[in-house]
Amino acid sequence: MKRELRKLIDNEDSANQSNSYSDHDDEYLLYLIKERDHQALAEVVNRYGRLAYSLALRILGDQGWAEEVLQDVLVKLWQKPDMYDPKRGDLRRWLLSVTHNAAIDNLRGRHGSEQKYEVGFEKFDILPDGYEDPSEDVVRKLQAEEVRGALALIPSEQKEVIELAYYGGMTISQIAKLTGASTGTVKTRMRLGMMKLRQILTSSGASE
Amino acid sequence: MNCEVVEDKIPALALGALDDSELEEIKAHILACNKCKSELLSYTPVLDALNLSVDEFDLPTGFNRRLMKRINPQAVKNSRQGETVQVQQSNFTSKLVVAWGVAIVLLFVAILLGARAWTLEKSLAEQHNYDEHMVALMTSDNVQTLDLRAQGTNVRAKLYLSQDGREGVLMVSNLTPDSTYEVWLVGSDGRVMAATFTPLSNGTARVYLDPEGGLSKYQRIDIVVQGSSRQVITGDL
Repeated sequence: MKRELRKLIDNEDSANQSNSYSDHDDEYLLYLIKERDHQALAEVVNRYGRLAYSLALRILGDQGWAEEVLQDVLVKLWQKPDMYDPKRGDLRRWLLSVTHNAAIDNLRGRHGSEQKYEVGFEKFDILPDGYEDPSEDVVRKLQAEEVRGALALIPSEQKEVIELAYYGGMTISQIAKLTGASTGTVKTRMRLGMMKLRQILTSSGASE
Repeated sequence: MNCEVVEDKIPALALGALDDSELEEIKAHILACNKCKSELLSYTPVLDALNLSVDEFDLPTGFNRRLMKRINPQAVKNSRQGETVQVQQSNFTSKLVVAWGVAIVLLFVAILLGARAWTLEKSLAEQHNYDEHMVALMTSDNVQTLDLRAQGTNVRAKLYLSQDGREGVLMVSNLTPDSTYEVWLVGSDGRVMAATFTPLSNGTARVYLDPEGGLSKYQRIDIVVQGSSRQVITGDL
């Protein structure tokens, strides 16, 4: 009889719990994580884990390393939930940004470089408290396909240097060495490509 | 270093592509210059776009289990949340699976129709056993009772705890009939949701609690309104 009771309650609870957790917004999930609720962290994984893992995999090219990096990020979030400040961007953006930085650090570490990667999340630390990013909703409104479409609109040599820097963790001088172009040319391609992307994305987001 | 020089380097800074030799000087300027700070921030949508534009892959099988094991080995045992196992299939395999799936579903429909009456009967019997078990626990000679304190409401609750501390029945009254409530158990390892329930139309509810490891391993029990942190009842175990 105990087993039957267990089955009844498990069935009810699992159905109720999955519903209730998927109904919570990110801020409430963070509150539950601070209250040491394991299932709230599982829901964060359910929402954004696939995307964050794919980003780490794109950078590291290895499933094992990508998983380890993402696990480290999530464990850090569990141990220090206050490191995420909702005022400075939504949870998805923060998670992707931190995963990106951790993956690049891992990549550089394996290639013998000690240079710490400092973009994305770290950059938000230079902003004053209460600062609201006016461009925050631009990309959130866009679908992944539209974002890929925007990337396809910039010249391939500009896209190449941006991808080598962002997904390959390479500096301007490393990219110059790899591509055979001068550092000045790499800088110019990078600047023009980034400005063009910003323009495309901002106008797409504004037209939503 | 003036703004013009820095602005030229901001796209590379945003991408993390500046060499160490330049990095500190540029960062020092940006910290002190609101105009360059805004320029750097204006590339945020581009970074977001780069993060979102990657091809998506499923998480490796067992990812959640390994994560739970890292944050708290005990949690793996306690977790009732099923892990989604997602396997990438080739097109051919997918089609084959779909074909087999349709055949199996048709077969099951036939079997289920035949078994429906039997299942209903069995469910009623299980529910009856379930009710009987709760009543037996509440009326046993050695049951311990605990009154739980309401938080600024007239809600009342009593916990009937079995002698061995493994299971219990929670009786609650004066609840709002349309609301759903969650029962949380708080222990030294963290908190787990033990049950969710919706009261009867008269505002009462009877909830059976049988968490892994027993109720006695927890120090506190909370009842909260689902989807909010508002406690209606709390009590020490």
